[in-house]
Amino acid sequence: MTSYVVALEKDVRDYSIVRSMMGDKPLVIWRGASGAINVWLDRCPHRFVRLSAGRNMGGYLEGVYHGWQFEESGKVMLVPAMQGRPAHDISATVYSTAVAGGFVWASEEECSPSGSAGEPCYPVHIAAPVDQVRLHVDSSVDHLTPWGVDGSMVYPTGDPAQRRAELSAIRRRLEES
Amino acid sequence: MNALTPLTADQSYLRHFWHPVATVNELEAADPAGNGPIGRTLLDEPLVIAKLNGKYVAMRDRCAHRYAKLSVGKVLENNRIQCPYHGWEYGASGRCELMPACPSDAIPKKAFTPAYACEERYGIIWVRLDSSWDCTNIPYCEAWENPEFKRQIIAEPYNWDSSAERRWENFTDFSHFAYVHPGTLYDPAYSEPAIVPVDRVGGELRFFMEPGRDMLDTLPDDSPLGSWNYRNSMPFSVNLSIRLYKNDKPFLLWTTSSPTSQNSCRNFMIIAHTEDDLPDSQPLDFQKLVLAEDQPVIETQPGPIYLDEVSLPTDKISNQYRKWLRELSTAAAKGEEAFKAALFTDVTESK
Amino acid sequence: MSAREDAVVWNRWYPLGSPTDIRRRNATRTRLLGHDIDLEIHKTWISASSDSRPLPVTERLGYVWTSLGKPDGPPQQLLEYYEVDRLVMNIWSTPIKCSGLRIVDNVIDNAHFPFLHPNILGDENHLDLVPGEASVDAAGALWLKSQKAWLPLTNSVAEYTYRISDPYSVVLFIHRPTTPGRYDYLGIFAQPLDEENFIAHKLLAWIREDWMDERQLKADQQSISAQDKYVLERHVHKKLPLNGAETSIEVDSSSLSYREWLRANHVTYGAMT
Repeated sequence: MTSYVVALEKDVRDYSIVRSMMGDKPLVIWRGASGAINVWLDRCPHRFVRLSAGRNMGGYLEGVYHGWQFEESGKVMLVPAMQGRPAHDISATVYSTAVAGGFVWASEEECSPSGSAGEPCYPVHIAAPVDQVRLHVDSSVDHLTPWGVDGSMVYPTGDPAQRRAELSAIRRRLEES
Repeated sequence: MNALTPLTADQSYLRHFWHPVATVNELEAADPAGNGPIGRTLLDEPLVIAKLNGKYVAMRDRCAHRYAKLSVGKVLENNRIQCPYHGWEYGASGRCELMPACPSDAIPKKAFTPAYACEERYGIIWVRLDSSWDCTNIPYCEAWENPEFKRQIIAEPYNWDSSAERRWENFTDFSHFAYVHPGTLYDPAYSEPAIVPVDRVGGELRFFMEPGRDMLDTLPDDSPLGSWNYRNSMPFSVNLSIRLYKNDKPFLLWTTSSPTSQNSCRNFMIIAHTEDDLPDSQPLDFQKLVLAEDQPVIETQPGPIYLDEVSLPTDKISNQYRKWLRELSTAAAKGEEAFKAALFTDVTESK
Repeated sequence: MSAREDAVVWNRWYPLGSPTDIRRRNATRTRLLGHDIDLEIHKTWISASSDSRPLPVTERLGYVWTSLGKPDGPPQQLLEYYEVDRLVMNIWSTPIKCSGLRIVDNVIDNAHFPFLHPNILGDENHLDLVPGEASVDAAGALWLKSQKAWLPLTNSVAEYTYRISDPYSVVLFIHRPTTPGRYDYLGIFAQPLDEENFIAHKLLAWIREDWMDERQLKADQQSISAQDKYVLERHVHKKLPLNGAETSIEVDSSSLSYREWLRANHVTYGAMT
């Protein structure tokens, strides 16, 4: 099974989110409080909204829509509307990962970093949720969450030039390595 | 039966507007000298109207002495109104200037009757009871503005036992005409009067109607069928400017209703047209026909408007009118700034 | 799929926008169910045609409506919109890249209020929800009555009832404790451009109160629309699954009732079946 480079390890920062692709599958990549990097299918099991639209709270990933809390194992640990765990196990789709040579690799099966790199993707870095963790805000990256710098509404647009630059940089690094 | 909720809690906002009280013809006909006085009612206030020293005046029709009506008195050559009872004489300011029984005594401070702002325009005498905010204008009338008009007819005013609000709504009501909304000709089941864009501009409610031309065949020749352009100064005026289908000439139907009391109004009308040899009686008689049909029905309505009345989508003109009246009433209770904002904040739907 | 195959969807009235908006933008082109629609702006009305075929038009609730098929009756009724003591606004027409079924699904879901609309429609310290009682009336409309959720503005529990008479539109009745029997209304009427692109036309008809500031209300409602748009465009599937693909929990009863109603009415346009 192919393993893919899905992000640069240094881009996966605390309290923030990276969006990437594995083939045609959208990915959400986040570093938890344990330090481990989690790579999941970017799709909340509830209403299939992208998990990358939510917030990395360190100990858990929080869905933007209903605030479901996913612990690092991928399991839903809290459904706020029910004020507790769901009746039966609900989980995000988790992929196996490895970190090697400064890259984050992921695979649907066993992850082997030295295997084929697959199609390079262009990971998108998403800034920290400002109202939660002000210290970690990287203001040089555009804010892709609805709650802007001063708490006002910011409609996320992304910067295509930035995306292209990131993609070229990854391609160069892969060629050099 | 449940109590009904009136549209406006407080009618005192109407005192800040100019209302017509008499035509110049009426005043001149009352007395050989042509200066009056005549008695009229406006918002339940009895008024005496006269011409003193070439200027029209309006005062409370009540002598300060023993409350007799000044309108039953005389206008003297010294340009004062004389009370019929004890001959007290009032000047244009409303102050008593002579008490014949005590001619050399100092005139007491209370010897006055309130005088109101009074102006003549369009051959009609207008009065404003409360000029403390001085923010309203005499309603708009196009009759003398358009050089195409050759004749302007100032009709005799007529009274209705209904409120000025109801009279206004009747005049702008389109349900008499079975318009077929052109967009729904595909299926007669969807025929309905057009729901037109309505603007608020400078204290006027403005809209445009274009009834179907095919009605030219079915309506009498006198009926002013054409494109209808309304500029209606709030609260009770209608300036209906028509471009006639039959000859593409302009025709004006202007009316303003004066609120004499909650359940009665006095209605003023001006007709303007471009014909050379049209006797006044012709357009006036046509209007009288229309009025005769409407009056008995409108007089069965209660004077005040109630929130409990059921409004339909096709009642847009009346609904917008009612909303504005309600906003004006509420704003006036808050004060001058709120009232000015409610009256002069423009709203544009037509472009 | 072609909308023509979905009779429920084809033979309905759809809003194209408010005539004031259409005039201001001089909008002479739009789309409906995958077909191009040409608009002509006359002085007193707006006409519509598709491929030179004139379409029926009507004006209701501050919008111009048209249909590609043969609707049996006027668009859905909300006569209260015309009551003269109401503040009425046709607030915004938001293009959203997802199915109108998702738009309605989002409106009737109260569980997202504390997270997507924090401090406006909900807050995280009051998560209690009372799901609505679902029923279908004689005309076939789905009602979700008396859903309850905490409302920060009033610092109390608010009660909501939803009426869905068309697959892509919902009228929200906001219960007013001070005037029982009279409600504040929010209407969301989605215009299908095609299966995965809709325009959500939103109107507000509230009983006018002294504290209401039109500009502030419009800004608040537009914030809510923008927040909803953010999420609606981030569903992995733009169409609403009616095949049970998504995981639901107990408090999702409104969403489930709506999906069941769609299945019962054989709606396929904009759905994954």
